[in-house]
Amino acid sequence: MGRYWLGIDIGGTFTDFTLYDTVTHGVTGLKVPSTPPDFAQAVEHGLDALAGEHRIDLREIDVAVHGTTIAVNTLIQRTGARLGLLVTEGFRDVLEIQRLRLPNPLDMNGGRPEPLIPRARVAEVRERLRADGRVDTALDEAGVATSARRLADEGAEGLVISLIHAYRDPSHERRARAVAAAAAPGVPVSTSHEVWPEAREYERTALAVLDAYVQPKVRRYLEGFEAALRARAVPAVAHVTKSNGGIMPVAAARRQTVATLLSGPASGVIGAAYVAGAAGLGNLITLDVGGTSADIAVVEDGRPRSSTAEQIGGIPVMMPVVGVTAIGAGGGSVAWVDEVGVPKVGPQSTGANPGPACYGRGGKEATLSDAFVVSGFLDPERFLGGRMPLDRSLAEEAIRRYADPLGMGVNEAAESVVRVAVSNMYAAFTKILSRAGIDQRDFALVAFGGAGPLVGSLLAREVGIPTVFVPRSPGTLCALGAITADILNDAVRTVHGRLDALDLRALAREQRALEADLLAWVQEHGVQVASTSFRHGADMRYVGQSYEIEVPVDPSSFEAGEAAGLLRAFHTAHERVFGHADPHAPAEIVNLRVQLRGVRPRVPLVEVAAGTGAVPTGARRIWLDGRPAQARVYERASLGRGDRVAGPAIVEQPDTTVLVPEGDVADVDRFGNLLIKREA
Amino acid sequence: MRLDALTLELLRNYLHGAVEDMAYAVERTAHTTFVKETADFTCGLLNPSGEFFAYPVELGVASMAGINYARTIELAGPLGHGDVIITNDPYSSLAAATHLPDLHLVRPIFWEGRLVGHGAGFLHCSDIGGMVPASISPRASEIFQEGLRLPPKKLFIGGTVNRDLLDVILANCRIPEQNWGDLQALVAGLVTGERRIHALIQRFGIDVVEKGMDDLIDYTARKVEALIRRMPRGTFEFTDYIEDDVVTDIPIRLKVAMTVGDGLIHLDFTGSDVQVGSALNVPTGGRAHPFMAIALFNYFITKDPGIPLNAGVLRPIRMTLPVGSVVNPQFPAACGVRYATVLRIYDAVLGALARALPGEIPAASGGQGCMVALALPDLEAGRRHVTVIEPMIGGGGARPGKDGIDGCDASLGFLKTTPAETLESEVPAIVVRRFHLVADSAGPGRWRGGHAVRLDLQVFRPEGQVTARGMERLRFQPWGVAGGKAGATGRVVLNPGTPGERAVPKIDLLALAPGDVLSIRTPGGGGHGEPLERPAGQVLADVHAGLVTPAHARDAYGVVVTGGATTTDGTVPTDGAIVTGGAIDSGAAIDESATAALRGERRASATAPPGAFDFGAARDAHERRWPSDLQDSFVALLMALPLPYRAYVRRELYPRVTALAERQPVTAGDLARLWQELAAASSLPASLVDPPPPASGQPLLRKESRT
Repeated sequence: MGRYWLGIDIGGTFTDFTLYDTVTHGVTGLKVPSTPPDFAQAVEHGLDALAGEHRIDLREIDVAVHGTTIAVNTLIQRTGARLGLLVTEGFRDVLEIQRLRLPNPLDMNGGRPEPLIPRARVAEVRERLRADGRVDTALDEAGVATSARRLADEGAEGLVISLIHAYRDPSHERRARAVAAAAAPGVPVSTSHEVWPEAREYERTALAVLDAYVQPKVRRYLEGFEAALRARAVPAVAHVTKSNGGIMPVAAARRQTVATLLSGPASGVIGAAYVAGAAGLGNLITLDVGGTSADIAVVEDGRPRSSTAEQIGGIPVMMPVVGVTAIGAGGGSVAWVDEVGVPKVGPQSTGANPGPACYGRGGKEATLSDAFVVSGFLDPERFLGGRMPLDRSLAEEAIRRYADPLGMGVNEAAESVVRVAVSNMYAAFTKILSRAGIDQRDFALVAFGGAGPLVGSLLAREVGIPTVFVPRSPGTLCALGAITADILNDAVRTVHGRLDALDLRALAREQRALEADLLAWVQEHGVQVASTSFRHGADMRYVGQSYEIEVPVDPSSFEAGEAAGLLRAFHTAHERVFGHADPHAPAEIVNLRVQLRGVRPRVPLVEVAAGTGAVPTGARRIWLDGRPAQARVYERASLGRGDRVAGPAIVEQPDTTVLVPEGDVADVDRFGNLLIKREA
Repeated sequence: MRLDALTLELLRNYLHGAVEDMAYAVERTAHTTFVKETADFTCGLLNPSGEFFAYPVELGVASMAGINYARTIELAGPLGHGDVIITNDPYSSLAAATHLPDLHLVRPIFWEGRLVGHGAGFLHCSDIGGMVPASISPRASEIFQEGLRLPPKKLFIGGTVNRDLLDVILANCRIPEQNWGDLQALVAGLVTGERRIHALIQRFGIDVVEKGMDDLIDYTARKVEALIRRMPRGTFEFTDYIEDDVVTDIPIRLKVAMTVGDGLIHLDFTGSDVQVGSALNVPTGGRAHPFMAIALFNYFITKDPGIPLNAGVLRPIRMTLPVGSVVNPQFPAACGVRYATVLRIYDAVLGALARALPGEIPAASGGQGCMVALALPDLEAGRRHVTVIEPMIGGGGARPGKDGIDGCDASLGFLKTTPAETLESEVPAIVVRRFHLVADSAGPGRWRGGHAVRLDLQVFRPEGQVTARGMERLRFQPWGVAGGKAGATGRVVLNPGTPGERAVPKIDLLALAPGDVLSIRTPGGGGHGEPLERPAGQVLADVHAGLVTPAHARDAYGVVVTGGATTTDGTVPTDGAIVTGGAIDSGAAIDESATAALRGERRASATAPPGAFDFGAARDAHERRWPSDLQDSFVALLMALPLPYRAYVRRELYPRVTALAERQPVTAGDLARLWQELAAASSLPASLVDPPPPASGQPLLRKESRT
């Protein structure tokens, strides 16, 4: 066994390293600038810095897990592979028509997102299966060969084959792949049933196309990453974080690139769930506020809420992913006054460049960060641990310009920006809670990111969340999430039939086949885990409905030909989710699902020493609730277990700043986390 | 405005959260798939006088924000805590409801014993009785055929359900349990609204919340007024048509004169047709109604996405809606498919906007919201099982700076398709043979329209019946604007590409034999700007994509394409059909000199004035026989008749005028003579319409005027 576990989070601007020492339980953090387009370089720089400055023996790194934004950036920037698509005759416009619905029907200038493959490179294949898998029209192999050759001649770097009902019977897709590969040698060919074999032709095709689209870039990067590890004799099997909140070996990621799309936000949620879980909190709403956006996710009983209805860049992702909602509210969100004289914050953002006025990079517009500086929440001298001084006078100027039409003083104006931003988040929160059908009083708000802990308490008050949890090291949550996550892999099989008409033993066979596939995946990719377990589910609905809910399945009941328990579970779940159930109505199963979990050892969190009473390092004037107040200022590192900080107070640390408003108290738990509550 | 700007913005955000919460509560707990899939519902907050001050935008129907519940509240009598009013009756609710399947509920909200507002909303239930399943038949001639009418009555009294009323309702619909489930979901949304308002009052105080209701409406109105002030003043007319009124083949004329004043717009619908004997009438209660101004709202929201939706959107808008016209029908006119007419009114107002703002407004879209449904015998249930196959909308109108949206348009952008894989799993007796775009169907222009969609459906079992409610523009094309050309019409064919191929007229109820393939095409969207100005490279890109054939590139755009005129299997694509292996060889290229020569020739011989509308040949032919003045006189004559005779005279007189118009231009004198002949033959006193009334009403633009 090696000594270290390494988590790496590769972002657009910075690459974060978190090294966990299994002997001392200490955590070392390191940040190096990212190196686009060759992101693996930053990994090399970081590894060299660990070996150099930090004197880490890289040969002792046992586990290396990293999260990457390469796939999602390739999609957002539309810089993926040039592809050709083969579809069933009559369905050439599956990517153009999509599901018809417009993202914003009120906008006369709106439209659906542009497909990743233009119509000119979509060819139809004469073939057709029926819904039960029966052959309606045989596969026209000559047609496949001709089209594959033509698309390759036109410069297609990859071919995707997506045929109607291939989730039911993949034989036409398999045969077409063989024919296409022979006709267009050297051009990779992929099929929809391999990527995700679920019914609904647009969603399945879009996912298969997305996978092929990002694949070359992600593979190139993964090769560079592995080479960087090999060159430094790092023995660890490299892993990549997945959108479903788990991880997988790099070898598997080459085949399932699409599963890395949302790995960044998912790791943050896993990390947050992990540290909050260690502190005894299972029901969480995570709030990660960065420069341009705020990411919000719901965790129940320690498990992030998963979703099969997420969209990335307007493209639906039907495989299960951690549900993260991004809203346009961050430190760089611009404050402005509309033509009627009403103050607004966002959705425009100054981004990283020029950034808020207080950055002194030429930004003139007032932003939420400028309001934080003017309100005294941020100390211009100590931003990012003093590595990036801010300019208070520029912030004031910008806030004054914004406030001019409002006739407010600069302090009131700054507070108005904070309050409007918080009310924006309130509106977004309401919708998320409402959609999830949960009661916020049973949840804690986990605030992280640079600005999350500044607005967390203000927002929690408005929403009615009783507790705010600020992790000890918010900056390392993503990387921590990566090294603590389990191996997770999902499998699906569309069966679609009435429960009272389906052959239950056949369903049991389907489930065993899915389990076998998942175990084969484990073996094929050399996954090393302490133990594996399966979770079985069925997507069910009443006959006539068009939406499903996932119900847990006891696999042995299918074996026994027994469905009464499943039916009861479905009625109960329907009652819980939708508020009513109809025990007399027939139900149907649409999909069977199996999730494999490979349990990995956990990182024990280091406890902090007992505190001796929090001692402020100073005090400064802040402006809140319409009046000035003297806030005590604390150094986060100086707080020990059991220490209590009473608001108004500011707690500073290099990767974030915490605001404890008047009337709130923050208690330090044994891991150094802050739990902020209303003073009893 | 009475609140300070910051408090107003905070309140707006809180209320935004509150109404979205209400809408989610409805969506989540509703029973029928219809509510969840088509989102045909809403749930928001009213001020005490019955106007929406907060309205959800992410879920539900946006066009109802201007609905007014004052009459509904008044008729229900004194309200107490826990009361819930129900109505679906367009006539007694003064067009809060606009057809019977929309069940509206209003629930008062009290604070310390005082009425502070209401929660209100509706949902489209799948059946409320009447002559056909799902209650809506275009052929209904009276509202009595369309289901159970509910004038505003209390469904709950003091929190307890009014069992007598409920039992009557449930006894009169085909799906009682589901309707009751949906109603309870809507009540849950209203209760959520009350909880939210109470929390807001606790947070901000009753005074702030009450002032905020008015201020928010005011805020929206001011933003709309600011946009109107940027529009040129003047009166702008436009006319569009529903092709026929179902019971006759006479087009329904929809005429609007839009007068832009100082922060006010007046829409005068004088000259629009008389109410019809089918279900296409749009109840409005004769007062400014949101359904008449959806094109304006979409324009405003597009210009300023920050406008909160509420009653304020309608405040700067006045309307003249003649009594007994199709836009202000009188009891007991049927109105089940009123939305088909609303879509065309959208086009008419859009056209008036295009006249006011030349070059800035999109062309007409497909203009139909056609739901194709298939009924097959269900042996288990012992009756027909109906499956909605797909919504068929048509290409969107071209926008200045952007091509139109393929297969869909902003006014119906909330509709969603059902995957073929799902349909075929649910109904094993069908196969979706084709669902794709139709080449050459988009209206040409500098920016072309959106392409039409084609659906081919094969049915294997006997006794299949197809309905396609709302099918339109099979005759009059979606118009092009600013020099752009009209989009293609829709069309229906049985067994295409076989010896048994035959064209089918607009579908009412079509019986299919086992093995039949039904092929339906939507209209394509109109174009924007001169087609000769479209860069040849963009035309070529459409040729490469297989959306424009080389022949069409030449005819419509004056672009000569060479070298790629065949598909890979050697056949020339005709009629937009997609042949196997379908993409056209990307070897196709532009013949630059031939293109320059052809375009020069076309420009020199152009006959239409630059920047004109293009309505297509069928409408031009119709208006040659029926010029605008003649139609004005004809409508005026009908409107002068007592209501019960209007439909008869319209039906009888129209063909006589048309027959004369085939031979010679018809004058006002001719019309009067033909009327007198008809009057004599049908024992009607000709003096009923003497002297003829003025051709159009006068705009009412004084600020205090209420219409």
